[in-house]
Amino acid sequence: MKFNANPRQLLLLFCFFLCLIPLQAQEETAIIRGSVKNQAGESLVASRVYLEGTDFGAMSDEKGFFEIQGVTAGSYRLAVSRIGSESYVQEIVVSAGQTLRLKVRLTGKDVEMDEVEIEGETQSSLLEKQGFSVEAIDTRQLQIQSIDINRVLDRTAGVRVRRSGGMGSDFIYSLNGMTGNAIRFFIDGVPMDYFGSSYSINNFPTTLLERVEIYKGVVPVSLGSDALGGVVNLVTDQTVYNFLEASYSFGSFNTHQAVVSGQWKAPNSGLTTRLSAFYNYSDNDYGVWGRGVTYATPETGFRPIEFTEEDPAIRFNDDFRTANAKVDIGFTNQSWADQIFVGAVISDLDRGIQHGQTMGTVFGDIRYTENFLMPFLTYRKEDLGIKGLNTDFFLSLAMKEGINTDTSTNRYDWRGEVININSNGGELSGNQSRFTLFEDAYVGRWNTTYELSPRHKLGMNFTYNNIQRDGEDDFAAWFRIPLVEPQSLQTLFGGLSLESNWLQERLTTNAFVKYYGYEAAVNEDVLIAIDGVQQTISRTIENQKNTWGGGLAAAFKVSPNILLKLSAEQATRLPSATEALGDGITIWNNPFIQPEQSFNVNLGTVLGPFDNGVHSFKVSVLGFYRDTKDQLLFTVLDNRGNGAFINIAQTEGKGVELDFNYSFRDFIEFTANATYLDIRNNQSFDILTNQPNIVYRDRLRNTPYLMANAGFRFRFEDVVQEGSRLFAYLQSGYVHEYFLGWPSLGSQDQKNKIPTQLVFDAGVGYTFPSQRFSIGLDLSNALNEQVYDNFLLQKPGRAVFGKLTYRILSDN
Amino acid sequence: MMSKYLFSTSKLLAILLAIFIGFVSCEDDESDNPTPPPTVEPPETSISPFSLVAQVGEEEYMTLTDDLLTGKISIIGQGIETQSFGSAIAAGGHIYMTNFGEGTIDQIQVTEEGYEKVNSLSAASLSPAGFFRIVQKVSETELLLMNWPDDSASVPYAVIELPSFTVSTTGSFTVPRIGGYDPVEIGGIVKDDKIYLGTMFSKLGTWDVFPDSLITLVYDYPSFTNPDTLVSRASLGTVAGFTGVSAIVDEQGDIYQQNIRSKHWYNMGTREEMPSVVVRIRDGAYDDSYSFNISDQFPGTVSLIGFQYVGNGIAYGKLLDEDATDEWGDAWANNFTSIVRLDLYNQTATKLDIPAGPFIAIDEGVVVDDKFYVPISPVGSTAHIYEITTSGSGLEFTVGAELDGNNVVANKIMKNE
Repeated sequence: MKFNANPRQLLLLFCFFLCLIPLQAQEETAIIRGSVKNQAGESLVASRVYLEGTDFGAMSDEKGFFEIQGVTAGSYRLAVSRIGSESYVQEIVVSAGQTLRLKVRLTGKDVEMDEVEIEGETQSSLLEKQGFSVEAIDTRQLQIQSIDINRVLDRTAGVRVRRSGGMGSDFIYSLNGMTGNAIRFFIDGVPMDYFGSSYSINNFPTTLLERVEIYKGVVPVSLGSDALGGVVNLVTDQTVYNFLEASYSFGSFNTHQAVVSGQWKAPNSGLTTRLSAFYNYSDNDYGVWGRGVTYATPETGFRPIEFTEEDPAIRFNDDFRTANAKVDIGFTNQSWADQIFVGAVISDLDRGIQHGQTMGTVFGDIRYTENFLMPFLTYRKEDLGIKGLNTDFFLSLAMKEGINTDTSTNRYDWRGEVININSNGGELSGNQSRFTLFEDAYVGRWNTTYELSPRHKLGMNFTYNNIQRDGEDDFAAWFRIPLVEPQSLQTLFGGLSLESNWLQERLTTNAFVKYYGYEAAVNEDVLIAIDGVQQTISRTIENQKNTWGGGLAAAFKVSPNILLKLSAEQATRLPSATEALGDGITIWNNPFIQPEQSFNVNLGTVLGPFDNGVHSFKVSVLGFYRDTKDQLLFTVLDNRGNGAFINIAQTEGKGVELDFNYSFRDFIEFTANATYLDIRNNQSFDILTNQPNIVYRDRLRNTPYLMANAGFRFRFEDVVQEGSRLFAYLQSGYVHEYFLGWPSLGSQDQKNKIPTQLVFDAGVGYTFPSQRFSIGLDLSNALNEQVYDNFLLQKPGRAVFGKLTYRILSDN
Repeated sequence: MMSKYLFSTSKLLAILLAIFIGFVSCEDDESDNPTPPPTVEPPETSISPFSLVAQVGEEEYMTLTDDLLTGKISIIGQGIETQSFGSAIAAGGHIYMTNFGEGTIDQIQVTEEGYEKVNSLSAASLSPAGFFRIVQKVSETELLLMNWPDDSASVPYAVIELPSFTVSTTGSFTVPRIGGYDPVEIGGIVKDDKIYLGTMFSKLGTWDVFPDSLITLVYDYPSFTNPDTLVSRASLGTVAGFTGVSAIVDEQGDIYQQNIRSKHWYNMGTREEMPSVVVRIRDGAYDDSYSFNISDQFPGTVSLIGFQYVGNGIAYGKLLDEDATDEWGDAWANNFTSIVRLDLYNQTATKLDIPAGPFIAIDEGVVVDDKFYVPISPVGSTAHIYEITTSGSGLEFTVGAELDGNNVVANKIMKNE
């Protein structure tokens, strides 16, 4: 293996080893802070908060605030007292580096610990303090709402989710200008790529989620990822307690989603079982109209007649159904394992395909079905043999069978009527095809951390994927020969990181190096003469690449409310199976594909939260830089929209995002964010023509560059019934128009655009006093705007969804 | 007390929300536009006489120009986006082109302000395949839309009247299998009341075996009845054309047809007994006394791939240097294609001293009086329109207007009127 390192890589390696140099040992401490209020929410001055048997303590100020600094790690009895009230005592455990946030409420003469929050207990918070640009979206509040994850994340700073339709439709994520496959998706740290289409982020129910973490540009080693532009990690609740919960949502376009999840642990043996299952269905029969949505008949003189908003076309081959179940059985809280599970994910999926790349080409019979089975083994243990040695691993075999059926001889228009018979068949490819893609993916992931000292923690991650693909086509189209014959792809990721704290925890760093290995056996068809007869055969081309990367994330706490963050990474993304091996339908394979490379830098600050007991606000500003090479772009290679992923692009860009959060007395929250991107074509020579590139330094086409979101959330308690909770939100999203093609070419006023969209969503949820039963009501695209994320692909209009959630059993 | 707080704060936040959305919703100023293009005002008082079609990667643009000889014709900041994949054609004062994005064929009017789409026909409704591969001008008042034969050898077509842009006939006809071969490509020319469809026959699905002759199918036009088959043994290959016409009609009513055979063309090969030729169809049959062997005119191995008739027996064609190209991509990416003057009557072929270019970067030109204007975008040097004087030696030329060049490939010049 040849080792190549450019100056950037060497610099990052230098930074990594620099961080290994031990500095003077410093004591590890924690902070306890909070507020004391009365029943009406008014701040109480002169309450004493202290740790019994120690000198640690503080008095609340005129705003009810208190803060105890420099608390050494350990177990304590925390006491709160006030003249005229009885003392309150609670056992707490303080870990080094934590900030415990307490909300104390005085009721009558008693003092109650209303709420104890431990800031920094989540991995995302810890990572943010290490300098990573990470957003953690707490989805627990949204669990009772009918909001899919894509919509939730689409409201986040720097994130844009471009959807081609309704439930189950294709989607593309953009994180700070990096898009498509540059963004990787994980569930509990395991790549989602191999969980099948049913388990994708747009189908996954929010009910099952605790939070979503979004890493922008620079990704920690623990995720074992070759993500170039960032990672979205879905985090489910891993707490071990008994519960059984069911939810059912229903709404516009005959959309249904049913979810059942539960967990049971035997009292003594530690035997634990988990179940999560969901069923999604939608007709997706929403109305579309305008350009590209037409019909024509001899009576109209074959003139295309556009459908209108008043009389829209109804989508008729866009139905989507998926069923998915995940079962785990194993042991928890054992001396030899915190968790060990064997389990399986099983799913199937069936969907219609309504149109081609735009709504100008309408399909009526094409279908895609998929069956998926993945047995797996997971293991997790903290303090494995040695204190401070934590490890977890995941092993799985994912078996997928996807069938694309394109055999119809019918030609449809937007009325849903057959207007022609094409004897060749095949609405999509122009030839009849029933292509089955078989994929076996062996996935292994091992993650471990070791606390070298109270201030240094070493992390390692290895992730190995081995994907085998072949296929069959009942109609044996010759051009699918390379995709029918076996192809394979192996990737290996290795990462090493060092987390450190300095300057009495004011400075935290995370330095890391990453190794990426890629090996593929990809077929290409060649026409040769055998015994004088010309034949198309498939030959296999081996392609192997190895590369290194690394980076550094650092955060410096200027003051308790001001955090500076810096992260940089020389990142690599290995080609995905579909990019390298094709999909057998519209994407051809590419035997000569190369990994993408990007140098990513984030620089930001977090101001706040500033909290006076009534008003609280926090502002985050992030600037970023991306320099991407060998970018893989799907390149159309024929007039039917078929093509391949080719390394043809270099882009360079910078941007800024602003995130503002304000809350009033914990029951009104206002959030707003805006993102501006300036991503430029940095390809000075056109790879395909080997000519100077006339659109060099042009703004990247077909890429949104100005986005903003704003919204209110309301939380009330004891509404109608004591002990109940009411949650409501109003959310708006704005995307400025952008050009489909290169902006500098053609007259600006005659170019194809993806128009500006301003969409409002609203919803309300109510949880009954028993906390077992909740109802939610959601309204999306409330003003019924005609909105597009992609050229001539209209998204759903106004839709209403209701959701019922019932916690049948819970001992939490 | 609490409700008072709530009311006032909500009001304040509502205002904040409105201000915030209003702020970010504002139109971005000029500085947000990438690489601000130079503004080129269209002519104020007259309709530009020419249109230039150019491609950048998979994007296509069409722009107007008054002058083919001086200045620069650029698509930067000018023209319209099109999705015709080279199908644009000028007839009767309009431009017609397939619009693959919307599944239509569009009629475009050139006005003083620029291009204006005035009408559309639904290709998806007219053609079982959903689109027409061939948009062909029969006359200034008629278009013919066709596709290649489908697997059952059926050929859909539509005849369009101009300038009303109305469908006068639509239907399909079936072409025969010949000698065990399937019809896979067709493309031809209308003369009088007949259509002469050059063909390529091969084996469906594999396209790897070919007959050893040139085959043309003849039908009554526009009824597509009374079929006849013409066979020439002058060479083999396709006479259906590729990115341009394969047949022309001269002033005497003779049809001249050129074949495409190349080592890159479905691996047909370039053996001596299968030369690049121009053959003649006279009085409804191949004229076996006429076979213009292009291959014999040049040292090494060459292939003629497309030609345009300029009158008086003279045509200009694209000549590919087969020896210089190891694979088809070489022809598309390097300067291995030259402009060649063909004297069809005297059967001579002469390369012009004009820079060679990639195959796709030398394409359709336009004839004005005794001048032939053709865009050429060579790799590594400046792209220009070349004005060739067709009279006299037919080899004299003037370097005309500069084009964008680089990775912009100008495919076509059309007369707007």
